[in-house]
Amino acid sequence: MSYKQDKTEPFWWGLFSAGGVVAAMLIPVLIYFVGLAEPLGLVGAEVSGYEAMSKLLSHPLVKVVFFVVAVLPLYHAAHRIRFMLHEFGVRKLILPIHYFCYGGAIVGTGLAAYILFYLF
Amino acid sequence: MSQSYETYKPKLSPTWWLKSRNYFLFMMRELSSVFIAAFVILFLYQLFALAEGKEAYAACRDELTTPGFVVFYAVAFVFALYHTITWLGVMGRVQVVRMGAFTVPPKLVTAGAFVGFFFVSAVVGYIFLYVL
Amino acid sequence: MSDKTIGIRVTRFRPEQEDAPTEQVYEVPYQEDWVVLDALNYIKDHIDGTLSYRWSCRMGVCGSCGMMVNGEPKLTCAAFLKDYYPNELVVQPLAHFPIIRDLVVDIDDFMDKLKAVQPWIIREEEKPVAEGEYLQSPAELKEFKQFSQCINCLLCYAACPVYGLEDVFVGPAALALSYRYNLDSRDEGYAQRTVVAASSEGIWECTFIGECSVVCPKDVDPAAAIQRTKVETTTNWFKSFLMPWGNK
Repeated sequence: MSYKQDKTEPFWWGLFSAGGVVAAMLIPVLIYFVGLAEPLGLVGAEVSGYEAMSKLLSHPLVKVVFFVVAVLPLYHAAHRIRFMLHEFGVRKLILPIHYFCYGGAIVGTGLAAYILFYLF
Repeated sequence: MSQSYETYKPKLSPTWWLKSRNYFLFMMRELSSVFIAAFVILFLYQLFALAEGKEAYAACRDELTTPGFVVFYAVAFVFALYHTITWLGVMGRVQVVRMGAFTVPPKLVTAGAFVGFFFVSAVVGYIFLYVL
Repeated sequence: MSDKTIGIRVTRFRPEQEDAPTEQVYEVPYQEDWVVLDALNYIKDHIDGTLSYRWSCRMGVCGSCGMMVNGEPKLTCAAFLKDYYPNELVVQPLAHFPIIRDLVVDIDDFMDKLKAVQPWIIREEEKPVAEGEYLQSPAELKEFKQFSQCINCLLCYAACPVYGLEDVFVGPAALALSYRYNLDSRDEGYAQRTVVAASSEGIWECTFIGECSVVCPKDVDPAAAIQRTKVETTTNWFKSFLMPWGNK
């Protein structure tokens, strides 16, 4: 029995884990205010209106926070989707799955950086 | 080692996770990440529209507040909360917190994580409701 | 003895006469204080002497009587009939292992993995016996004691779908024992164990389904041991990446 030494696993797991923490802490409250509060009439003011969001994004720290909140959960999801596919018994396509999942997260990272740090 | 006897090796079916409550809940926990990622992508789309200007943002908001998307956000919210509960719930078992010679009891670590969650949520809520 | 009986549906596999396992139902007397193993012993002694299964201590220490009871991995010496009565009870060999005969499974694969993680104290250099024992404080013992309770009953492997799908996975018990020896203040074998524990077949296969810890009769919590090993390995990786001049 030989044991394969893949030195990249800790890197991906580290991102997965950081993304898990960020998602656990911030995603529920964000979904609430960004996606639910306004259309359901749960808050009076336009919490995610143009003025409010523009004001929020004018702060450089908010941009960094939004970047982290958007990007790390993508790596978190990439990791879980990769293993979910393994668990559905898709074992033959291990490498393509690997590239597809983490590749998607890397593309997302690029997009988030472009939107938050170039367009704004 | 060569084996001198015959054996029967059972195969696990790809639907194994439908066969017990715990396995099913595990798969739902994993599935939460898909909803979280989908929300993040929509969120990036919204920020993109915001950068484009007032009209583009208004059009994007109109789209994202249609019943279909509201249902999506509601489902994603439930999955995100499930992620929070399962992720923070095992915090004490996974993360050993040492303070010198003292090891913080796992239950306290988990409790601390939930306190952190409520605090962070309250701060974000405060910003959305009162600062903006 | 009461007149009550309970049906036990047992997996039969006799490789000399059948290609795949079949089932056989035995009616055994129902006793409130009987465990599943008592029922199997009754079958063996009074009904059908050809039934094969492993058992030894009858008290949850030897770890040899693990089987699937109604689909769940259990020590049959600790699973009471009264928790299933009056329904028929299904007894199958431990899941995910090759079946040798009836309820007996082949555990060679686990034995190889157990040996691979070197679950014993490794010293870079043994000190002479004359210098005495390697001392350990109660606090140092407490660090790993929970993880040293493993009796190798393999219920955790039977509960682990990852092992069921791909048996290259080192698995819960072996990884928990690896962690246990790494935590031991007397041990210096971290580097040797980590090539197995932190390999692709080791901790990274695990997705923290967590069922191994649920079924463990000794509360070892192998799932926690594996996740902690991931945290530790990842922390070391980022440390060595950010601070390559460090000694690790």
